[in-house]
Amino acid sequence: MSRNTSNGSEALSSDPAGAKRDKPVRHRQSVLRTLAPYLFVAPAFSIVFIFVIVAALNTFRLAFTDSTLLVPGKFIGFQNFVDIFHDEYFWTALLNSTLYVVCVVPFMVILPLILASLVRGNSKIMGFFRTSFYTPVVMSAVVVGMIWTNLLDSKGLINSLLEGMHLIKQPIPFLTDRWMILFSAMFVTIWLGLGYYMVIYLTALANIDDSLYEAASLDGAGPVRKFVSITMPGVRSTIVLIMMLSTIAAFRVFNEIYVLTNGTAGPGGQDITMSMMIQQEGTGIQAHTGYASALSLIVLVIVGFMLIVQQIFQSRSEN
Amino acid sequence: MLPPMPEEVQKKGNQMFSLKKTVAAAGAAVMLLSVGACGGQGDKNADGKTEISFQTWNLKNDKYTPYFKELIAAYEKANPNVTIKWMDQPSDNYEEKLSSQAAAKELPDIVDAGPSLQYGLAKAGALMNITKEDPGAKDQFYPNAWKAVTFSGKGMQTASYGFPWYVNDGPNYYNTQLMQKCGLDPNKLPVTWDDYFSQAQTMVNSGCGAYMSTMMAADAGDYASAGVDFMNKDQTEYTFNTPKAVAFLQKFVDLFKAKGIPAEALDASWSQQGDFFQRGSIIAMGGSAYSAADFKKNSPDLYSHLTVGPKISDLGKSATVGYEMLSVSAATKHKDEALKFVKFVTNKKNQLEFAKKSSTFPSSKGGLEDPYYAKIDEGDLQGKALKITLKAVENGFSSRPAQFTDAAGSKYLQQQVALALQGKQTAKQALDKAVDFANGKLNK
Repeated sequence: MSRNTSNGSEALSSDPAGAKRDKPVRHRQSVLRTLAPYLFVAPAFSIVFIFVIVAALNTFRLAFTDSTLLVPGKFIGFQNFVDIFHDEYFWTALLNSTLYVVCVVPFMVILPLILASLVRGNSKIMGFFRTSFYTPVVMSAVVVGMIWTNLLDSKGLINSLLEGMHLIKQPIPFLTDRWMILFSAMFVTIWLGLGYYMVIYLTALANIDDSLYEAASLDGAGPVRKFVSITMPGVRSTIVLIMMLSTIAAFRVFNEIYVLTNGTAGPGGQDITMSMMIQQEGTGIQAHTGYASALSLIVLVIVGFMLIVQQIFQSRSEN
Repeated sequence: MLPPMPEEVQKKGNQMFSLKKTVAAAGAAVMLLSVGACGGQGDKNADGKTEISFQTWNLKNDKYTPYFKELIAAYEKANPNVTIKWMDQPSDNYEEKLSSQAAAKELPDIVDAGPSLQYGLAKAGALMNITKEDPGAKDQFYPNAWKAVTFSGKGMQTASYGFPWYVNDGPNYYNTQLMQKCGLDPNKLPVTWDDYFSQAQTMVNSGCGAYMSTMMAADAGDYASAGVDFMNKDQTEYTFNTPKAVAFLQKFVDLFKAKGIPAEALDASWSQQGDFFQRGSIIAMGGSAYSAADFKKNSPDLYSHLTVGPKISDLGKSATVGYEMLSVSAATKHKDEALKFVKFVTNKKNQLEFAKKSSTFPSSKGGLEDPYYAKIDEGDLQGKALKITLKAVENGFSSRPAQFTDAAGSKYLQQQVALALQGKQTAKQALDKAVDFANGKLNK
């Protein structure tokens, strides 16, 4: 490509000496043109390389060492993984994170779609609803934590209301019972995520041709039939995307459990999740960075496996 | 394909390129210089004076800033070739701040922290061995204070890795109105653990709907105050799973079942304990001498119903004395100047002045004999609290080994105790597991 450019330029030149002088300049230009795309990509790539690729490789290296934050440590083979599989809190964390995926993902996929179907349209009232549903997304984790701990506390608003209405005699242990904490956190996750995924669905719904709904109406289809037969197939690829995103987010849940338990992972640490375990092992002056890195690798493998399984099911159902 | 550039444009481009080069080089130089300014802690400053960085936590405020400004000004006046750079960090995430500073090898010359945080730094070799560098320093402090800053552990020399600074403990605060409601006599406050459990039972039987406190044998101080040896004498093994310790924990398990301890205590933080006390849900709460002033300011109604008593102990003395310490970074470039300043901050005169301001106590020898402490006015709650704390500090000790950090057993003990209280395991299983875990960490 550079040779062709050079030859074409020489053919136009009437001064052979000038052409000779121009040669290094043109050569430099052609090199620059070849390099240009790489130079454009370079800044972004550098950031990704340093903060993602190098960090990931370093995590991989650390996973096979007994490093702490302040002491580099030495290579110990698979010992960290052996220790993890003998750690009772690992199994608790794995169970909690998996339960989170099983319970939260279906709601994250279906509820925002229903919500998006209800609030689509250009009227002001729909705009108000869209904004209301999206508001939790922009709240900080601290604010969310304060709101929900005040609501769910044994002397909080919900328990006080239920007690005041004589519906319960003892406060519901939203924040003191292992399973209640987990389900409360799941509820908060769904509450937080609804608006976010709703916006994604709204974009997908905008691409469905309105004439399909009109035709269905003429054929006598009701709202449920339209939703199942037009809306759902119309946003199929978005459903897959949201399923993947919410699976990753649910398995890596951290903020909700952290704020509802003041970072203690509940009574006896029974509400610990994989991300909380990584945080607890990997931070502080005596952080076990090697152990935390091994945990991170396990999370990576599990999330990767979940996504592959989803992809397999997806492609089978498409076939 | 792009057409070739005309020569003029090319020339202009070359000029621009050189201009760009110049700007880029200047930018790089500025960046490098600013990086240089970020680092180099403890270097000489622009005046050619030696700069010592001094980091405290949660002390830069209206109450304490004037003290530190005066302290630093007095030192700089007496040492004109030294300047002190005082930095204060917020209490939230102080451990994370210290660990990131240590990991980046940017620990300030002098660091303020409690023994459990300092232990992690000392074990990683980030702190100066004071026993080695200043063997005479020991004589400046009370023996219990020096013991609290002396660390031992696998891979480290048994030595002091800092200077003791202010000392604190505190009384138990009691809500007298709630005590009366629950059938208890506010003039007979519990002193021993038997008193405590007996009064808790009376409270439960009264059906007053309150809880005794959030205490649940989840801390080294609880076991030590019940006469349990938390570690063996040479500090090579944890021993808090003896039959005596199991029987002690079992009493809390029974009290929890009888609804004498709130379920929230199972993972309660300090702030929650305060909330429970202020809303009148619990009868007793541990605090510091300065907590009285906080109650007076924030809960005046509650303040009028408060009284104070010593911390519960079967030993006749407190097992929960807390020592703050100042350590010197092992990487300091100005060892002598840093040591001199730390000794200045922790000398008897300066410690006394700070202790009076903060309702804490000095660790330097002779400090507690100051006439100020003999004249404490016990007419109000704060005076009473201060007097009880003085006794605790004079006779008491710190029972929590520095190596029993959150990561090395403290948090795990709390979790296992919570599971025992919930009936998910026995008291013995909880303590056996906690001891095994802590011993495992001790030997790493």
